[in-house]
Amino acid sequence: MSTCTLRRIRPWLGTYVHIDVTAPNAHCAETALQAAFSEIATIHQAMSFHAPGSEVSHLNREAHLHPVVVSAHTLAVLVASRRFAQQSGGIFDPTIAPTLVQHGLLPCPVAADADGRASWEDIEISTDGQVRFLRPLWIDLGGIAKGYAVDCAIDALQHAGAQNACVNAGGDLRHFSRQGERHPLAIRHPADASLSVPLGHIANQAVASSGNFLLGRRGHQTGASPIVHPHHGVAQSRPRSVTVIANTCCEADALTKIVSLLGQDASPLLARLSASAAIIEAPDTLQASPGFWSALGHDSAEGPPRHA
Amino acid sequence: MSKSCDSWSTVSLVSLAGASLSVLCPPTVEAAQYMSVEQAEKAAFPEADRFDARVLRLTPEQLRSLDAVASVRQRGEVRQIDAWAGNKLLGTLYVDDVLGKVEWVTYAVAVGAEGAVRSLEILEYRETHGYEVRTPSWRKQFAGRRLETPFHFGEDIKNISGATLSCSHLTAGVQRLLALHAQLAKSR
Repeated sequence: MSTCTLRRIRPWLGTYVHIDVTAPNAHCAETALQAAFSEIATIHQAMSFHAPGSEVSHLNREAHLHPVVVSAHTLAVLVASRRFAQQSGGIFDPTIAPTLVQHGLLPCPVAADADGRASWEDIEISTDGQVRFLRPLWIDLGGIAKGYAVDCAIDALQHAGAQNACVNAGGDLRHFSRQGERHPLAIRHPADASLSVPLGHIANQAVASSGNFLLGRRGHQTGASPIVHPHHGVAQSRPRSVTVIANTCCEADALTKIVSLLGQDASPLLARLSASAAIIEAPDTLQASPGFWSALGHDSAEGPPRHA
Repeated sequence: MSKSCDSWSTVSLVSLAGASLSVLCPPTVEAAQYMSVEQAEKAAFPEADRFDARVLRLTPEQLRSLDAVASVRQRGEVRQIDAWAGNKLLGTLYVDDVLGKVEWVTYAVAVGAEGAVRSLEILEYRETHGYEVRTPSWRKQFAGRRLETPFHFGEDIKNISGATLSCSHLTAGVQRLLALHAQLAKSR
């Protein structure tokens, strides 16, 4: 059977979104690509912290004054954020935006000043989908929305009849294959973005990475990291990266923040979500959680065979 | 620390590199072409029956005026392609390159005759082009271990997961092209 494979890349979600798709014919592949990019564009526009017209900006301006109705996408990401916040004991917190603004990692929004005591617990979601903040606060869904958008794009590609697809939004990626084909996975080295380290293969899984490199700063001289501890507010600045493999990209994306802050203490949550992780630290160490190497198709729990 | 922490395993990246033939990828990276200029023309202006292409060489004054709009490394040569249906100008496709921190991007912006952006497509995307070596001592460990074959992004290794690359320089490039379009429209 002849198939058509297309690849496109467009700037969304503050990064480059790559989509590879294989479909039974060119029309199907093109339709699937358009559907996937359309989902990503919708999610970008709803959840941008930067755009004054986004639903997130609307929430940050008004949700502490009165309940605000949001779209199904934003609601789904808010619900997921609250769930991760609860599951991580508040380590994942979508209300840390004031710290990111303070460090110059996000622009200052046009909104009432955030209450320093506010946390994820001040986000109230009613059963009819209305959102209310119990205190003035700034939410930023940047720690999870990209993964969610990748999941929605994969759903759209599948729905449009794609046979194989991979969506990669600047390192948050998910692979789909009806035939269960495997896809090679590599990660960037935390100290040198020009080097990538091959790790193995994934099939119908999602991967996300977080790190404080590649943000225009140099190796050991990195400045503030976008990963902020909600209790200490201290941004880590070591050249370190975390890679998480999970069933959905939304989970993988959120878990990278949790593993970055908790390290190996994130093991119970990883296990509960059938996810695995690796922490890579410069110059040369990779610590893999139980299940990380098997998720990448290696038989040995120690990873691929290697030389001394 | 919970008990399950004990079962995390530690390996060195050097040993992983030694294990695999594809090893650590050298910094020479070949381009991945996503769309040709012809495909971008047709996608942006499907109703066109003719495309007129020319190369604009921007003068130092033009480049300076664009720097005031948004600063980004741009080549100074922009392809300008007018799309026609009969004698009606449908719009213009601009093809340009911008250099980011670790990637070099060729992109196409289609502007309709009314001046609104119709589409933005990435045509070619190359990573690590001209990228400086960040930690020479670390890299020395891999001397002689690297394969000499260039790394084909998206082919040899389709999935590279890493911290997010910002696309802000592309946004700056688009802003410059729109400013250029406005300048050129005045002089037409």
